[in-house]
Amino acid sequence: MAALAGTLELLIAAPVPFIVVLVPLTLATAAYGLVSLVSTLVWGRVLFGIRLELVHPFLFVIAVPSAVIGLGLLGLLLASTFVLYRNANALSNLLGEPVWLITGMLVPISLLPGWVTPISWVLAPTWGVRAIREAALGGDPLPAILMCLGLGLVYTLLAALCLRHFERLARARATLALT
Amino acid sequence: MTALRIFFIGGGISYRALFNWISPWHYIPTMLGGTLFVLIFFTYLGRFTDVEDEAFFVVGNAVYISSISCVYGSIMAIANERFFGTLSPLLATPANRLALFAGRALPYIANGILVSAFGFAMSWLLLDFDPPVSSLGPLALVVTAGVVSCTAFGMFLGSIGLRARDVFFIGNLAYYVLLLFTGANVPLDVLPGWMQTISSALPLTHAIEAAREVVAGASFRSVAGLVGDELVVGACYAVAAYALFRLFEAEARRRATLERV
Repeated sequence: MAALAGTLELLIAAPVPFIVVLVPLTLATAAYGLVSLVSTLVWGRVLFGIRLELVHPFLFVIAVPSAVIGLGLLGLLLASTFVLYRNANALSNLLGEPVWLITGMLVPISLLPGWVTPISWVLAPTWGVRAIREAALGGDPLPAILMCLGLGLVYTLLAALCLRHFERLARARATLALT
Repeated sequence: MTALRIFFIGGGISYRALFNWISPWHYIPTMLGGTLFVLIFFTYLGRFTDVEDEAFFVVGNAVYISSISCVYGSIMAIANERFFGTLSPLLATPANRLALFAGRALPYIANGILVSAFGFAMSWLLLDFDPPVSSLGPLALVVTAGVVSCTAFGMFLGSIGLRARDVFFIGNLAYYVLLLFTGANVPLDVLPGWMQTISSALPLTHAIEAAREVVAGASFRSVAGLVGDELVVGACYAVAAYALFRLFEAEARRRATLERV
């Protein structure tokens, strides 16, 4: 959006490292998902009488923000590659359903072709969803929480590398501005 | 003759003008890639829930995904004239309004059919969907009827966009309403009565049902009633869309609000 709004050049020209600007942006955007989470739980209760009984309420409170952070940092990694890609919006339109599918949010990964499983392992939302599910329904959510946060850290490092590289390329090719 | 020229050539030129920004890099991820993933996602979800057989979800979604062109495209075809500032010059012309309005629908109908055909082809390739060859002709007719009807629905929403400020909110809402109410993924008979009533007044509902019957081996004649119902629903939206278009045009002229965005 910054590219479309014409603010990308200003953000990159600022003395603050671009990733420092980008991390809160992506985390804040991912945090909007909490509104959807809460409203879905409320609608489930009001319309369908679904009661939420948490097996590990304390870990649930940790698992939810961990999943949000994991999603946000995955977004950061994708955003870092979008600095070069002029049609980022079109690509982001493409990603919703694959992420829902591959991370096992609604369909068990075991139902998908075998080659999908390793891909799901390197996606933080897979572990975030698993953590939330196990915190709510029973199990040991702690390893999943740690995997989610660990992958988030890896994404941040990769994003920092990508940003440095792609930012330099975009400057050299004069492709920062879309407006 | 002039009206026909406005209908065909004007419709084509307006599409190229309003979507001058579209390139294969936009078109393929949005219209083909995104819709394919919708189809795959709901088919796997259906496979998991085991509510119906797999063909139920493949056919339902392959028809449903045409709505991305029919709904969003048609909304943008009308509403973007206002946002791009081209509405005033357009309405200043003496061009036949019906030809002008209806011609805009043609590219979205073609796009919708292409998207749906792509969905069926990919289902055959990736999801073991194997309809009888004899069903392909009737299926094409049914899909065309559904796409035409859905495009009329999109034009209706686009006409509302001549007044509404947030036209994409309308589009998003319509897209998900169709997902829930048309029976693409939820069998209509498990919906409450009031939802079934709404379903029958929405585009694609009858086309999806007809497409499923055709794929199951029914002849076109046996689903002609459903196709007729689909076209009647589409005709109602088309009339309502044109009436709204003329109403808002007259009102905007009177209030000098044609260019307000």
